[in-house]
Amino acid sequence: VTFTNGVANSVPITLVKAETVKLKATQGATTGMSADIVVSGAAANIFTVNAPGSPIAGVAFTVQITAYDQFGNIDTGYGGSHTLVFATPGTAPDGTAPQYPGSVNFTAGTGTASISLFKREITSLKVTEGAKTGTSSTISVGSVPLPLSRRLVVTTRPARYHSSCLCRWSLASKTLTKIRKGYPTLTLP
Amino acid sequence: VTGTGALNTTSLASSGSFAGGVADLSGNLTFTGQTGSHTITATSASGKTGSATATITVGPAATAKIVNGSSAGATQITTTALTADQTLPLFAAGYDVSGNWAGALSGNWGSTGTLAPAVTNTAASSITFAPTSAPASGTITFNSGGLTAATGTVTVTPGALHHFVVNAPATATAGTATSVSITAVDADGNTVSSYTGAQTIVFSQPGTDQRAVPQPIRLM
Repeated sequence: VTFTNGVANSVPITLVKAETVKLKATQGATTGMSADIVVSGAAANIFTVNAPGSPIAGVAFTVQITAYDQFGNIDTGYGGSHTLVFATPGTAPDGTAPQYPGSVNFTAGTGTASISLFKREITSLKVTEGAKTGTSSTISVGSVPLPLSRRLVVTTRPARYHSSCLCRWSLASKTLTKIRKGYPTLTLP
Repeated sequence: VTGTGALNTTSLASSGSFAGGVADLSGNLTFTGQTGSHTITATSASGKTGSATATITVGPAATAKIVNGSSAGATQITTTALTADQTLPLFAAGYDVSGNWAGALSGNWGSTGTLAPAVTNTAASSITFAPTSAPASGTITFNSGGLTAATGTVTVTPGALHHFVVNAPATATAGTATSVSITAVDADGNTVSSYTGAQTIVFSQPGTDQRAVPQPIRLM
């Protein structure tokens, strides 16, 4: 810093953290402190996506989305309704697609979205708005173990074929399909 | 007739100055020297001598001075330069017509020029001027019963570097350059004009880049 007659004017500084702070200047034992500087975040350019790690297929869950600037500050000016693009989770085997909100309302940089996934898989949730993106940690979409009263037990003869299997029961056709290639479809009366 | 000290010597004529064998020197000898005991010696042309001892005492204060001490040996304060970190003790003293120190005087003090703080003190025989503003100059004055005195020009320059004054904008945006000003000042806040050139200044306090965004808490 160059001083002229005791004064250094127009000393350039760039602050990066959104906070209220005083700037301290030090040379040896000599110090000086500015008054408060209110530093606001820059415009958002990235999202963080906070999703549950083990949602249940078909059960809606809440995802928290937060807009950050390039320095990791929450963009508290990011508010209102935003149309976001959600991606990555797949469509269930029966063709049911994930359900995402048409728009997400943000307040002070943070918004929540109600999402339903139907495909049992390990995936992640990617959120995009223009150049801003964010991806959640790994999501393991699972299914709820059915109570015994709702389980269908299929027994085959002879007993040597008795085994547990993963099947899909169609209420419409009343057919039980074992989800493994080479096994026949069983139709119940 | 001669004498020790600052006695003005005089010569007497062999006639005319004596009457009945006595020469009256009243009004003919003036002593302007220091107080104390002095010897006056009369010597005739034929070498006859006679001496007498005279004790000189201080006359009433005829002038006032602002000096640097409270005793007879104090010297007058003339042109003086000091920094805002320093102080200047001032004493008022009276002197008789012969310049003998006649003791301390008590009276009203004042100042002229840009000296700060302005001096206003009554009924004091001494003050201490502790400047707070620089650059500044002026005189310090004294008045007591019609006797006035003044120092020479007192010049005050900034003291040593004490701290920085940092002026920054009240608001800023992360990642957007802004500017601040820094002023080197002494303990009284006067700009230390001698602080010039490239200096290494360490800036601190503001937080760092937050790009290591904390991972969201998992909602298991």
